[in-house]
Parts: sequence; C-alpha cells; structure tokens
Amino acid sequence: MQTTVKRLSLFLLVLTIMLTLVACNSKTDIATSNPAVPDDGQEILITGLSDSDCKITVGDLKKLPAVTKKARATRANGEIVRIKATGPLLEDVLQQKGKSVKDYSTIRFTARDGYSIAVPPDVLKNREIILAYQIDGKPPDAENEPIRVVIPGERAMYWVRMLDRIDLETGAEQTPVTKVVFLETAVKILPQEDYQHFDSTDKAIKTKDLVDSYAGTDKVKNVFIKASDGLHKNETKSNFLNAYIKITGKEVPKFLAPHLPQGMHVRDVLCINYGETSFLSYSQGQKVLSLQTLDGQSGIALSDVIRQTGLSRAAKYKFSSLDGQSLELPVDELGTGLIFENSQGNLAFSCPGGADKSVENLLSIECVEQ
Amino acid sequence: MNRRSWLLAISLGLLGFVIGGLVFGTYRQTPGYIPPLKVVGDVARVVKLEDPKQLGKLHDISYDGQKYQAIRLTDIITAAQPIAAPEQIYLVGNDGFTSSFSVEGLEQSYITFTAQNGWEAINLNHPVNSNTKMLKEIVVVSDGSSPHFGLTIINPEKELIRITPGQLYTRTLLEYPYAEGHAAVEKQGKTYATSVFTQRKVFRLADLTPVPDGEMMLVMGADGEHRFLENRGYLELKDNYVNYLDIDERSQMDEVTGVIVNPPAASIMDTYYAARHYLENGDKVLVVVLDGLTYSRYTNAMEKGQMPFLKNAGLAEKAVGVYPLENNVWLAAMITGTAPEENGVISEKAQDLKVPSLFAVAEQLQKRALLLHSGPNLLNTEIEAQPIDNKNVSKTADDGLYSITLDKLEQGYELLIVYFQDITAGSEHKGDKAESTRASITATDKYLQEIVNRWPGKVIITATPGSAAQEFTCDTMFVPYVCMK
Repeated sequence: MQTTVKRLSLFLLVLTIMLTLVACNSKTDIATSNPAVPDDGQEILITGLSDSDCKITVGDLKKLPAVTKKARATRANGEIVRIKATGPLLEDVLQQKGKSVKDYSTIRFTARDGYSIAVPPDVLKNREIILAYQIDGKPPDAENEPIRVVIPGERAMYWVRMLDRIDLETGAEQTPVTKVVFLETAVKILPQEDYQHFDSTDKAIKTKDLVDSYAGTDKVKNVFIKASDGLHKNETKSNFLNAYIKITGKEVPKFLAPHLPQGMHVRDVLCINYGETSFLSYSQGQKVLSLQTLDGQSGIALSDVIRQTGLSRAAKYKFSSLDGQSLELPVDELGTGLIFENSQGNLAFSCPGGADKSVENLLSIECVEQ
Repeated sequence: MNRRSWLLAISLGLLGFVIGGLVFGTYRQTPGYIPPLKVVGDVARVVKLEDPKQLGKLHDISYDGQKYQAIRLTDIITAAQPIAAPEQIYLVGNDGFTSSFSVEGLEQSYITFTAQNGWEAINLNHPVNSNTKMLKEIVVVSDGSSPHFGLTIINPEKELIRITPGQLYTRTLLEYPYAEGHAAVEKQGKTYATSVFTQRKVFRLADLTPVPDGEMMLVMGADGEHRFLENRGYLELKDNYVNYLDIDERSQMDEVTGVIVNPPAASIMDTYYAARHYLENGDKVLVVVLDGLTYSRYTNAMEKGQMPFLKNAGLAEKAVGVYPLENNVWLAAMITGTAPEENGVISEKAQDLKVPSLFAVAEQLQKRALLLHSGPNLLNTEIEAQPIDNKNVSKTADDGLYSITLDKLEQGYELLIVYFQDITAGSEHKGDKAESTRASITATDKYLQEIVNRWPGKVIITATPGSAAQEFTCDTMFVPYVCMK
C-alpha cells in the first residue's frame, strides 16, 4: 500500500511539473499584452528648460487637453504599425512652461531601457508629438508604460516606449533671437507704396526693404510669422522677400502679396522672426499681452516682449531709437521696464529709476552681452 | 507489465508529448524567410507575395528537365487589379536584372519559388533570358488611359505631362538615401549609436518636364492636400503612387495627384477671405456658385456672347480649385478658406466641416446667413440647411432656386450663398455644343443679372467644375472668380 502511494505521488509530481511547463509556455504572450495598472505618479524628467529641470507626472499629463489620433509608422523590418494614440501634445506641455517645441533644435526622448532618439528640427517643425497615455483606447502595456511617444507620419524609431526623460536641446542649428525691432517705428523711414486691398487703397512696405534695413542676413531658410489670433506659419525666404506688409487700413500689419493666394496672407501680424531678428507689432502686442502700468503710462512689459519674441537672455540690453540714440542697461536694472505709446503716438521705453533710463521713438532692443 | 512500468510509460509518454509540443511550437514560430515579391506599378492593389500558395492552387510545370510547382503570372497580375489596359510587364531581379515583355501571350508564363533562386520566372514561350531569377518586383505598365490614375502636371494654360506610376518605373530613377534619424542606446556607460536611412526611388520634376528650380508650384494630393511649394524637392515613386519629398524640410506629401506649375494667385478659397472682409466691414455679401462653369467654358461663353451680364462685370480671374473634384469638396473649400485636408471634406460622402465656415463668421458678427441649393444636402454647416423642393413647380432645378432666391433677397439676409447647377446638368447630358446647354448658360446669366441687381451689397461669383469632372486637367482645375463691388 505504501509503495502504491509513493508511486501515485511520484506520478502526480511529474504530471504537475509537465502541466506547469505547458502552462508557462502558452501564457508568456498574454502576460505581456495585458495593460499595466496605470500609475499617475510616475515621473518623466524634462531637461533643457531655461530655468531648471523639472519632472512631470502622468497625472499632470492627464490634466492637459488630450488629442486622439490614428497614426501609422513603418518599423525597421518594413512592418506597418497602426495605433490610436491618446494624450497631450508635447507642444501643450511646453507651452505651460512658456516654451514651444519650435524653440528647440533637437528634442531627445530616452526610454527606461536606455534607448534614445534625437528628434531633428524638421520633424519638430512639421509634426505633432503626442505623449500617449492611452494606446488604442487602453492604458499602455508593460512594454510601453508609462508613456509612449507617438509622432504621426514618422517612422516607428521615433515612437519611444517607456518614456523616461525628455531633453530639450538648442544646438547651433537653432537661430536665437538677438534683436527685436518694433514694426511701428521701423516703417517710418521705409518707402511706402499704395496697395489695393479689396475696396481701399492702403500703404504697404516691401518686406525686402524691412529686412535689408534691419536684419540683412543670408543664412535664413524660413521665416516664422505669428498673428495675434494665434495663427502661425513658416514662409519660405523667397516668398517672404517678394511680399509686402500692409501698414494702414484694416487688419494691419498684414503680410500679403499680389502673387500669393489670400490663404497665405496673414493679418494682424504679431511678430515675424527673420533669422536673429524679430519684428514685433506693438499694436497687436497690446491685444494679446497683458498691459502694465508705470508712472501713469500703460503699455507692454519688457519681460512679455522678451518672452513673446524669444529674445535671448543677455547681461545687457541696448535700446535704440529711430534717430540713432541708444541706451545700454544691465539686466538687473531693467526691473519692470515698460514699452508704451507716448502722447505723440511714438513708442517709448521706460523703466523705474529715473529719466536717464528711458528711450523715445523706440526702434529696437538688442542683446549686448550674452 | 507491472504497475510501476505502466506509470513510467505514461509519464514518459506525457513528457514526450510536452517536449514535442515545445519543439513544434518553436519551429512553427520561426518559419524559413521568404523574401517578398511585390506587384507594383499601374495596379489598384499592391500584391505582396510571401508564400507560393498565397494565391491558391499551384500548377505543375516542367522546364529544362525539371518539375516545378508554379503560379500563373496572369493570376498574380489579376490579383493586383491592373488599372486601365496593361501593356507591358517588367520582371525585376534583386541584382537589377530586368526582363520586359508584352502582356499579350502570358498563357505559359509562371512564377515559382525555389530555395536556390528565390522567386523565379519561368516563361515557357518566351526567350530564356526572360526568366529572371531572385525576383523582387513585377511592374505592371498600363497604356495610361485611366483618367483617375497617375500624376498630372499642368500649368494654367496647358497640360505638361501625364504619367502613371508604371510608366515611371521604366524611366531613370535615382536611389536616394533618405535620412530617417539617429538612435542611441546606453549600456554600461557606453553609448552605441546608429543612423537610419531608407532608400527611396526619386526623380525631379524637371526630369519629366522643363521646370526651373525654385519655380512656384501647387501640389495636390489624393487626400485633399494643397501645398504651395518651390520646385526644390523630389518626387518619390512608391509601389503604385507618387509622393513629394522636400529633403531640406524633411516633409512628405503622400499620393500626389497633380502639380500646377506657376499657379495663379486667385483661388476658389479667396471666396472665404473676401466675404469675411466684407462682412466684417459691415457689407452684405452674396456668393453665387455656378456648377459646371469651368474657366474654358466661361471664356467660350464670353466669346460667343452667351453671358452678357457676366461679361459686363469685367474679365474674371482664373481661380484654381482643389482636389478631389467633388462639388461638396469645392464648396467646403470656398466657405472655409481652407484646403480639404484641413477642413475635413475630402470626398463626395464627407459633409462635416472641421473648421469654422463663413456661416460661423456671420454668426459671430450677428448677421443672418443662408445657403440655398437644390437637391440633396451637400454640407453640414453652422446653419440649418433649407431644402428646396422643385417638384411640379419649375422647369429646371435652377428655375425654382432662382424664384426662391428672389424671395429671400427681400428677407434681410446679410450673407447669402446660392448654388446653381443647371449648366453642369445641361453639358453632362447633351454636351457643350447642344442648344440646351447654351440655353442653360444664357438662363443662368439672366438669373445672375436679376439677383445681383437686386442685391444691396458685395457679390462674389465663382464656380465648381461640374459633377462629371473627375480628372485633374487644365479644363477642370480652373474656374472664373469675379468680385463685384
């Protein structure tokens, strides 16, 4: 009897081992395809922001407006991957920090397994980057969580799984803005032409005259134009230099040209970034930037101008007037500097601390010591 | 046999079963690699053969003393659904060796797969050098007669070239290493980096037709893409379509349908910008859209004095339209000022706008607006559509629409869009030279005269190419655009 029990136990042991082996073999895929339990506290490090590095949690990302996009990418083996990605745009994440994807020459995404990819500027400029916390309507699985980067239209090599950190890099390819020119002042000494705009004959300046007088660089490939209604676009250098800026009448400043379709015109232009120079419209700035008051004058804070145009940080800034006078001020003396329209209708700059810190007929602000 | 032996035998049997299962499973997961054989060119469906039995039964054939199991070449081509009339077949090998022959007489042409030669052509009736080995592509080249397939390059005056993907495969193409990116992995403190490229078959626009570098061109895609570009990129031949690649910008437009070299500045989308400007200026705006009045039909009508009222309004601008050539797609572009890819109306079936239209502008400005057209609903806009029923009331659809429009003129609308369709109806049924077509054009001009004379505001007159127009041509892509002040 004892022998029988021993034999039976041995048989059951062998059977159990075999069944376990079979079960393990068939369960492998299922285990990895189950969605991971979402953990909103998981952090992603962002480096390269102007102030300091910061961490953002999955929970923070879920609070931002989410987009859902069907995306397709080709893997290295030629296989097509199709997914529906849900999550905020990286652009929205950076906008919260006062930045834009377009401010960077490269953005490197690094995964928890050490894989990393540098996304080049042409992709940053042309594509949307989704930080997906849902894939095909479900939380990401163990191979993707906490976040998968999805860039519709780009190859799967950019779709970094298990996102761990985002490095924002401004390399040599990024042209920093070192000079802000105020359009209202700048156009005063430029030749003006009649421009037929629907029923009215308005005045316009040639963009080439503007660039030749105040920017003049051959290195520019594209010109960035932003309107006060939020519209922004990149225009080719040749299209830009063959066009006009209408400066009187409705919808001014308006980028336009008779040979360009009206859909390519931009009305209520806020700023134009041409190489290292940003042309800013004070009148449109008044619409979108919060107005500040200094010594009874209402205008735009210098800090807002710097943020809006992306003017580089500098130790000193030079404020120039249309008549050639200039004033250099260290950054720590600028305080709550204000740009405003004076009683003669000219732009002026003033900051606390006396009349010697003001400029009439303000034309430009330049970085002096970076 | 005692009990112990039985138990041992059962255990060994089960163990063998498990090991066998594991071994079988492993082998099943890693089948031998069969390089794909693609059927490309002028085909509706790109077939990718990765298994000799993929298309069904194999045929037993003998060639050069050997027996093979093979697929009929005609079966492969049929599966790829050739466009129009296929004329020529190209069998392309991995080493670039290519044999070409007519689609006539393929009864004894086969494709087989062998371990030694991969995909291999066996043409029993053709010369031996048609038997390409290590095949990677079968290119089908049609006679180019399909109006809806291929790449058309035009300028505002004439067609420059029309070519199909299959025909492009027979031309000189550049293998371009397109940089896809740089990746890196950190392991034990060391970085291992790689750069990735894809080989693309590309050509320049100037390889097809003389177009100087930097020339402005308007590139349109099958999904409603509409981009003004400078001629500095490459066109990429891919399977059965053509993409546009801007290498500098690293942007790509898939499935290019047509290119307009030196496009006119005027566009049907100007309707939106002009109407918005006038509405914001406090003017009332009437937009009249005439279906079927292409620019060539317009100039013809002007020459023959069929539209005296429109002639008195001055010469219309030649405005470029959008692609696809569907009435609702064009109408959506007009009332939103955006291309189909942006406004979401990219096919005949699509009706929902993704961007605000002129009606949203009117609503924001608290102005009354109305869209009038006969027939089924064309678009879902910010305002409720008013269906017009002409049954037993009028001779034609436009006749009824005209009467209703006259009524509406008196009702205080500040934005009124009216869509007349009799010109296209007449020309499609009986042709441009038929008396009824001429009568439709003249009647439409009289409607215009009456409506415009009673309208106390700005008037924009433009057109759609007509419901029969499907092909990207000089004739269909341009319509008149008149802004009457």
